[in-house]
Amino acid sequence: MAFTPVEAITREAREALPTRKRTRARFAHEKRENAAGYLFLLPWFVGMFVFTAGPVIASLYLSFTNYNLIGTPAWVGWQNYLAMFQDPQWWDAVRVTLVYVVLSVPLKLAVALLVALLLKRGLVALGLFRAIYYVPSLLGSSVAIALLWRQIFDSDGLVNQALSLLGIHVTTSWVSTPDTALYTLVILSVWQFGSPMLIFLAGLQQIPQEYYEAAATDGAGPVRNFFAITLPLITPLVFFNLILQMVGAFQAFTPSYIVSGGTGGPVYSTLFYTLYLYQEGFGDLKMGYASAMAWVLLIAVAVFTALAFLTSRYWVVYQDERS
Amino acid sequence: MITSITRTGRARSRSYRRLSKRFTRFLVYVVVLGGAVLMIYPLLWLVSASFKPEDLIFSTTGLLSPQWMPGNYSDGWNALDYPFAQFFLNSLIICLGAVVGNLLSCSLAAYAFARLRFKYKPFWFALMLGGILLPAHVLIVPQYILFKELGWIGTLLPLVAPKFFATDAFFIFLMIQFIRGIPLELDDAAKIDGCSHFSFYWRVILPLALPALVTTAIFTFIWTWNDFFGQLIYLTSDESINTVPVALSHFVDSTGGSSYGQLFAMSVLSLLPIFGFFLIFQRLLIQGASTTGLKG
Amino acid sequence: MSRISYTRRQVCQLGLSSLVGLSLLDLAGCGSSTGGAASETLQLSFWGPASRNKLTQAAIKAFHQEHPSITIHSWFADFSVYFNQLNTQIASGNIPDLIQMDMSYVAQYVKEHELLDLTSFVQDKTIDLSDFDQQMLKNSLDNGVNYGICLGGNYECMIYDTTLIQEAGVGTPPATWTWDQFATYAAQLSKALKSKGIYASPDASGAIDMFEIWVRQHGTELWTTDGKIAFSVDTVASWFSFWDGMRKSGACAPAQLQATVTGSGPSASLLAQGKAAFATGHSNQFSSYQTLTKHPLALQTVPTGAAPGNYLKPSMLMSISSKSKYAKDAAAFINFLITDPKGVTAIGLDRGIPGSARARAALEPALQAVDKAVLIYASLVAGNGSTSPRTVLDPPGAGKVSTALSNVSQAVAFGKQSITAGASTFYQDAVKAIS
Repeated sequence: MAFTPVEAITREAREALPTRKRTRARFAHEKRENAAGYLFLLPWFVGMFVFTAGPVIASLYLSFTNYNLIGTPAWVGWQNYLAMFQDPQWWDAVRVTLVYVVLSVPLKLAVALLVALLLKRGLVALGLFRAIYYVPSLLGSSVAIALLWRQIFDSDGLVNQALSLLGIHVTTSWVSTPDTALYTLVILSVWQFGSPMLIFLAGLQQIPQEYYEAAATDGAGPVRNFFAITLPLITPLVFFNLILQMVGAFQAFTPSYIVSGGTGGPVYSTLFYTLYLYQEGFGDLKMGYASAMAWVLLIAVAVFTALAFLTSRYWVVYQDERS
Repeated sequence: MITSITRTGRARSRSYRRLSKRFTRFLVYVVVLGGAVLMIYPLLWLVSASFKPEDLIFSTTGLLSPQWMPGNYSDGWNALDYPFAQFFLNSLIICLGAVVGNLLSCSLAAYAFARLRFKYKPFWFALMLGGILLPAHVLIVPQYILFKELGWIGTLLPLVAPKFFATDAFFIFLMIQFIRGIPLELDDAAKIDGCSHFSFYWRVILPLALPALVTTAIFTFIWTWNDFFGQLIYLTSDESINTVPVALSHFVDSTGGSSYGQLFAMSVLSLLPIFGFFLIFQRLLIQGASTTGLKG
Repeated sequence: MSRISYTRRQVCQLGLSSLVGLSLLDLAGCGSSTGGAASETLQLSFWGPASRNKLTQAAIKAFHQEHPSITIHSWFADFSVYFNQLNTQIASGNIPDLIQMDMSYVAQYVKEHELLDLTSFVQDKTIDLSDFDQQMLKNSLDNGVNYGICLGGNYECMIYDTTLIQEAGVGTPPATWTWDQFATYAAQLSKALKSKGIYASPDASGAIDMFEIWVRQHGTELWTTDGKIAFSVDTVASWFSFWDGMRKSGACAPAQLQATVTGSGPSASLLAQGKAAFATGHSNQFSSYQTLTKHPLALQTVPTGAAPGNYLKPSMLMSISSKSKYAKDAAAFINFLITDPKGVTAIGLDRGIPGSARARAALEPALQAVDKAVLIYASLVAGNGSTSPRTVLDPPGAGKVSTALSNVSQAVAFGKQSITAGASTFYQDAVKAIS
């Protein structure tokens, strides 16, 4: 699924859009360029209207209907939305997803930043370490890894074996116990911190060394350095990664499906929102209900994103504003 | 402001400072190394488990096992109704299709947004950016219905066709950023030469945008290869068009349990293409991942 | 530079056209029929484990030899996802010609006019039911109409691993036993096997078929004749109570272990995974279970109660889609499966004991020890007074009741709900499911 370069979007929203002054603009030339622009965009227009904007509107309409793919949609007004709020499984899905997002995203970012800080010191074989930390995030969203994870956290899996080597003997199956199953998925998500780590690393490497040297003459220690220099300068990337990871976490599907065997269990403890949507829409063919669920997800993501944007002015420091 | 006087007031000997620095450095190495081992161990375990016979997989922790069973690979390959070659082929088809689709359609749109002026451009641009943020699940039900009306459910088409219409707005954006780094003088020179927009795009911009194109291609391939949700929804009914992720998810059910060794073997194989891309294009991948948020 | 772009354009075009070509191939390849007058292609869908698929393929092959102009493609899935996948396929307009049906789902599909009324095929002997077991036939009708031919009958049973029983040294279970006797035996067995980490029994509180027997032993069927719930909340509560006791005494698998079972077939069971000595299931699954382990397995009767609980269940039906273009060919295939010796021996007892006397006779010489055991079990159960004919049919939505039981029982097992709360939740879910 696509990532969202929101940091750039925020900048774009702030700057003027990319237009340029052409000193040699002529009327006919402009007209030709107009036509060229639209021609070049033709595939995108088709894609936008047929596969994006059209479906968005259609799904809004469907969310007010009952439709099981046979026959025609039957208008039911707000019924789907009302039913949602009375559906105990829906609440389970919301709760599980929220916990997942709230736990995995900050943890992931924190670990990513920490490791990036460690790596930026210029170690021997930096490239190798960086690669090792990054590979999991490339592979992590796959079915294969989710299957592996399920076995690793099973009662006779790798984790329990490792624990027994340390002298702790447990036989719980972490993925089959409702109280712990979700945390195995959180761990899976945090394991994939390599991608935000790379972004942090690149950002950290861009901080001019002079700042640190100046601070050193003032006698600042590494902790002070971090909080006074590094952290403020890195806040745009923290913000960017936050949005990116948050939107991704809300839409997670594969780990939940594979680890729970499609059930979202045990006892709905791993019922991600998208999994429940899948069950209702493509299992029971309640397409209207699934559309309503999708819209609630959209609104939730929009609200969280907007909140992040709004609060960003209080903690995100852009370089170009520091004058 | 701490002055140097205070600093010397609490002066420590130079050698001590050097030692403590070296010690922290050593500590950092230990942590980083330990972390790396922890990170990579599940993958190493997966590979080693794929070579172990069934009863040893969950009883021995070590990576090296007393018995080796490469037969897991050949058994797993043929374990389902169709050999895994079929599933790999299907995955390959949709990935290549998606790559070609994205490269073509996204670069076209990117060129328009980056270089051309046309009416209502800000509005379309904003729409494109909005498309990046949109959760795919809002689109999935109507898209499914659309594909059902077209009769495409149960084929690979729903996974490939949209890519030819620039639906992955993220890559449009990526390319726009890159194209904006190409000097405008080239545009002006081409204009003087009377070059049409399309031939300028094809002959000048695309070759210069090669890094962005390659990044797009690689990430499209990887994301499509791993896209389980889409494949799960559209590839029903007929096992012959299953892709690798879908086949893996059915593996344990379809093979009568007790075949984790084979499952792991096929899992390893399914991860190899991505890993292969990583090895070959490492620099580009890491650069691409690092710069998706930074201006070039 | 022009040379480069020329080559690239060529490559691009080549790639594009080949992809378009491949996609067109996909388009052409999908969908049910590709042949003209020469060959007809039908699609068959069924649920079951891989072992059933092998048997089905053998039957299809044998049929094709006798009818070279008819080709049958098939797909199969685990029962737990079969109907979801079937629904999706139906919704996308791609309905299989031959659909394996379950008694708890057939009413639903009949209601939506998905299935063909087979009366005419039966009357003109395309499907020959002349020597079919009348009771089984009656139980497979929906409102008196034949919407699917019963492929076999089975009885609910328990299956146990004889090797584990021997190692435990608790003796084999008695020919018949009550629930309390089962509980005691299982507790002893679990204790003996504790060192291996094996439990005597799975937690079957979520198994609708076992629950149905419990309900029938308490005096009612699951449903009333007009399609409502016939059991009471108290019956549910007593069912949950029994298994709660089993969990507490260690006689059955704890919640956490049972939760690892996410499929419904033999391969997903704790017995197949070597974690339990017993399994519950249908008698026709016995051979599938045996393929999954090297230990010899044996059949055991379900515990008895105050009233007879077990019954001869039409294991599965083979129905024809109401929209099939090849209904007659499909009917011929069904007939082949139930009366033709080649078809009968190909699918064996895996789908149950055949209803046709001819078929049973045809199977006789080819029977393996496993199959003989099933027949012995069937006649034992039929003759020991623990069965009574079922008098109702599953209403539409019955399949969802099964899912509800499995979910709620899991919540109770984990202690997330008390027994009384769980019983009432399940009851309400069941009412909602069939309304």
